[in-house]
Amino acid sequence: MSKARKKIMIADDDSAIVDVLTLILEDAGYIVESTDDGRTIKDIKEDCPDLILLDIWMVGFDGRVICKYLKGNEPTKDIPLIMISANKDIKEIAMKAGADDFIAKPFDRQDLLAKVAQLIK
Amino acid sequence: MKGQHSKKVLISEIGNLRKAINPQADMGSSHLVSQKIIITQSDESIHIARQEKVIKLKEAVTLTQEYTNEIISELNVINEEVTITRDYADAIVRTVRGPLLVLNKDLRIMSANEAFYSAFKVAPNSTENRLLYDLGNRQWNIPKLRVLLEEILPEKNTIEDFVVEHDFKDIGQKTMLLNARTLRQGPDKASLILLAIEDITEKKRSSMYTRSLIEASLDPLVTISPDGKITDVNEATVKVTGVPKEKLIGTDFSNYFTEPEKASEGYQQVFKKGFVTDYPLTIRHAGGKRLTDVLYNASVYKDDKDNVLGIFAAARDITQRKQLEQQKDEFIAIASHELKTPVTSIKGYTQVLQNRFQKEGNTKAVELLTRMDGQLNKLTSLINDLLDVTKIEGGKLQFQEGYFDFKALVIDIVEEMQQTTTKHTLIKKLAPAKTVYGDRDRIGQVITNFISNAIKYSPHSKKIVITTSEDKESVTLCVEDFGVGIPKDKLDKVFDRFFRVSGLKQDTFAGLGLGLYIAGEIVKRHTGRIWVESDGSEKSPPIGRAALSSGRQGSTFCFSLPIKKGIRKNQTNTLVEEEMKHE
Amino acid sequence: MDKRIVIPFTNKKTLLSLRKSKTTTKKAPEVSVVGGDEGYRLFVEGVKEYAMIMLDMKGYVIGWNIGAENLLGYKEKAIVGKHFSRLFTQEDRKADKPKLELEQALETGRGEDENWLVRRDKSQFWASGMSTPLRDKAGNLLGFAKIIRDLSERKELEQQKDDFISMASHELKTPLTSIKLYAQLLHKYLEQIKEEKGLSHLTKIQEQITKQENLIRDLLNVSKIQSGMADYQVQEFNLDSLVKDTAKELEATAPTHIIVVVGKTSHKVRAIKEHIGQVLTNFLTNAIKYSPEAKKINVRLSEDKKSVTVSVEDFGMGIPKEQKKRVFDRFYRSENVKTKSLSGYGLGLYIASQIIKQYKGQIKVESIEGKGSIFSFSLPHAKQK
Repeated sequence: MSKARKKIMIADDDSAIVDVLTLILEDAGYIVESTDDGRTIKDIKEDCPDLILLDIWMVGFDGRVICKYLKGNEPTKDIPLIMISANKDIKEIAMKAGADDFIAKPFDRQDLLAKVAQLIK
Repeated sequence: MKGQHSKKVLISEIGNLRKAINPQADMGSSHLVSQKIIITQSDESIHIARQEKVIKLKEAVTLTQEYTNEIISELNVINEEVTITRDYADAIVRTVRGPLLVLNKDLRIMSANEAFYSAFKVAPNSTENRLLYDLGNRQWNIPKLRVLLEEILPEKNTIEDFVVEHDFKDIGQKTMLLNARTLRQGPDKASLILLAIEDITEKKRSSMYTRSLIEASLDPLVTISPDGKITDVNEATVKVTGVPKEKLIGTDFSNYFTEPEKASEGYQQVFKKGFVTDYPLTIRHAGGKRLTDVLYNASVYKDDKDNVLGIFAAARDITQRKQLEQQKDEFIAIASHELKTPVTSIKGYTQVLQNRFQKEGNTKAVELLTRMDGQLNKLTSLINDLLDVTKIEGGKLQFQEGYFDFKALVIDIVEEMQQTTTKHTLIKKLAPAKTVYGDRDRIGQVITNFISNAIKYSPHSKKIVITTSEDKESVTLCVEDFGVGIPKDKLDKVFDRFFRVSGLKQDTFAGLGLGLYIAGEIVKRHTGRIWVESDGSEKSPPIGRAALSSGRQGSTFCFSLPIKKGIRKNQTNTLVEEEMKHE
Repeated sequence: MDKRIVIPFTNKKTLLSLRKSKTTTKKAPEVSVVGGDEGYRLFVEGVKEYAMIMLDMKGYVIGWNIGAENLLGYKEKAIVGKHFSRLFTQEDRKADKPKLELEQALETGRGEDENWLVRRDKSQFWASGMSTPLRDKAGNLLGFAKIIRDLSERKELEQQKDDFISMASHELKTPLTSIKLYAQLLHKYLEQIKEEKGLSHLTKIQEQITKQENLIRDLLNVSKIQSGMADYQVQEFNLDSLVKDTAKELEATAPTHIIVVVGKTSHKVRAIKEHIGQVLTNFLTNAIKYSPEAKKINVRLSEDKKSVTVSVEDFGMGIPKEQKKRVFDRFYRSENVKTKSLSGYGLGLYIASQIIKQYKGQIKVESIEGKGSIFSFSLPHAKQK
């Protein structure tokens, strides 16, 4: 099972971020799915991703609220989740919401890949 | 007023009473009976209670000092002469709360009450028939008191609010407020002197606190009369204006500012509203050079009858703070400017690479570079917004003025913006061509901002409608979207610098949110009007699911430009009129 | 409340009005003192927008005007006799703020502070308080007078500005993030296909991206610090630990350099710690940046009778003589050919000099081109004014 390609879900409303992250992650061998809509991510039931990258602020949605929901929801609570934000200061808030890790913009490609590799199993 | 009614009842009842207790009107006995008439204010009737008792103060009354003095001045006001028997004088004396003495014309004490004994620490038996001045080992031999009793009183018959300060050996420094009255006992009888002594040491002390507070304040404090003249100042005011206290008092408050009209307006506001907060003014030092930026906080103060006596105004020196603000604004302006530099060179290099890889046919590289370029544009536009705001704040927003075709501009921009969205269709309903005068690029910026907001705030609807109309005086453009809308109570704040829809950080939409503020400033400087109509509900717009699925809400943003007038040259209201050449 | 009045019995008509007149509207010249005092009492009592409070020597409330009632919710009767520290928050009380304010008032003539105050209903608001000692003619301390102003509105505006700044930070960094990542992806790709020329251009792009990042960060940090003044407290502190901590922090980010701190000071300085930290960071970052070949940076702490000095010495490229005096200017940009690629946009030093000036300190630089530079700042001792 660990040999199959892992799936990563990106939730961010900025299309360029989604685009470049997809390129980076696919390049590194992951399957990437993405959404800019908070609704979709809350509806994950089957075929869960192996890791979620979640932007802290999305159109009409508070990333922390979504994070809390996912972490409290049976099918999704064990999926590792990395929160993306522009501010280092938000780290505490993100972790309080239940995120497994946190990355601050603008970040390095290498940093991102390292964090993903560490959490995904 | 209850008072009036009670008075009437009082008078008639006193009449009755007099008749009732007449037999006891003549007193001569050493055993004094005092009759008390107790009147209850809240009752419309008067309770009359007769009590016989040995005179003790405690049962008396809640007559305060002020009433004591009031009685005496009332007596003065109503009656030219009050004939009063010695015994009645005693009655007054004993039942009153405040220190009260009855003296004969030789200034010997005939009666003194308990209050006097306790306030001045005098033994009761030591006062009978004593010369006032001899009291307490001649402690009461006060020069001012002598003047009062021996010179003023015989002439005037009454003294009001005479202040005597004396350092008593036994009881320390006391400030006393004296009220005195000559009481005639009827023809052929010697007159008496009724002397009420109010100990205002504590009160004075508290005033002294206040006075010290005011003097000690490093903030310039002034009191101003209702007609705008300075009535009092503290040391700090003298320092900051460079004018001595005596010269300040009586002069116009507004004289000492760089903008006198603004100062007058300020205190007019205080009279109207009762107060004013953080009103900015600049004080000019008499020496001419030094200017002090201050914020004024002022309020009216009134007497008990609610008459406005004047204004109390305190200035907060903000020169340092303002300097800091200026520095910060300067810094942001520079930094914003600086921010553009790396982006510019990145863009340059990017284009070089794009060309190169295009020639080589390296599609992957070209693709990456193109996407990068798109983001560079986005960044540039954000920085430009930030820069515009700093320019506006610094009063440095410049315009390139000229004549241009309004309709053509609208068409251009709509075409441009249509490129940016596949979800929405931009529908045009335009009036015929019209030439207007202004800055084409900046007006274009406003239209772009309206449309890009419409796109942003209606992510799940399909169309946006752009309408133009005109009349003799102006052209108007409206952009209607069918998205989340704006709550009614926020409609007038939408063009403020820090306004965000719903004000909650997590509902932030992309962009700095400065677009509308900048748009507002641009339109205002063109002497136009900008406004918004929205069907948004009273509460904050629904977020999350509800927002995205709601259909019929939405907003219509509009602005109108006068056709003839030109652009305001600067932030103040001087207008540059331009005559338009008719086609 | 029933008001009982004893009317002395007279055999003439007596009218007694029940009005309370506090004003003595008739003022004989010799009673001007009373008039004046009455006047002051009136407006102290009448001023609704300021709280004017009288405290005794120990800080117990003895006077309370209507402004204080409005602002703090306590009626006069309820608060007179109680200690004024109950107006402060628990944290402030733990930090002894009430006591410090009075002490400061005694020492300097006024104790000023901005902090959260607690109303009777436990709600809090941001306020500015100023205490002044009151003395009698002989100079004996009688108590204190305290004026409090409600700064909620201003605080809200500052909060808005802060929110704006943090939001702007987010927004500006977003496109920058993708630009950076695209560039990194491209870099990896070009490396793979060994596109040398393209790579050299790309490296330049990436440098500029870093610069952009730094600028945005600087801009937002400074704005945040300056507009967040209310949250940062002026303190009296010894520089030694701040210097050592900052040096350690920066050493961790620059594995190529060792930062050695020598010397110590015994006097304290009075400033906002974050500001001085920023100056230090700036000096150290520059020292690292402008000495890429050298390995060591020396930091020295020293003091004299009047001030405390910190100097940062690097052994790098130094600054040409003609430019030395302009180095703290706003628009200074190093024109040294070698540094063109590193050229800082000079804002850091400009800001640093502004900060030090604000605290009435001195900032200067000594440098020999090719050998290195010593940047130093000094601050006056805390007690002196």
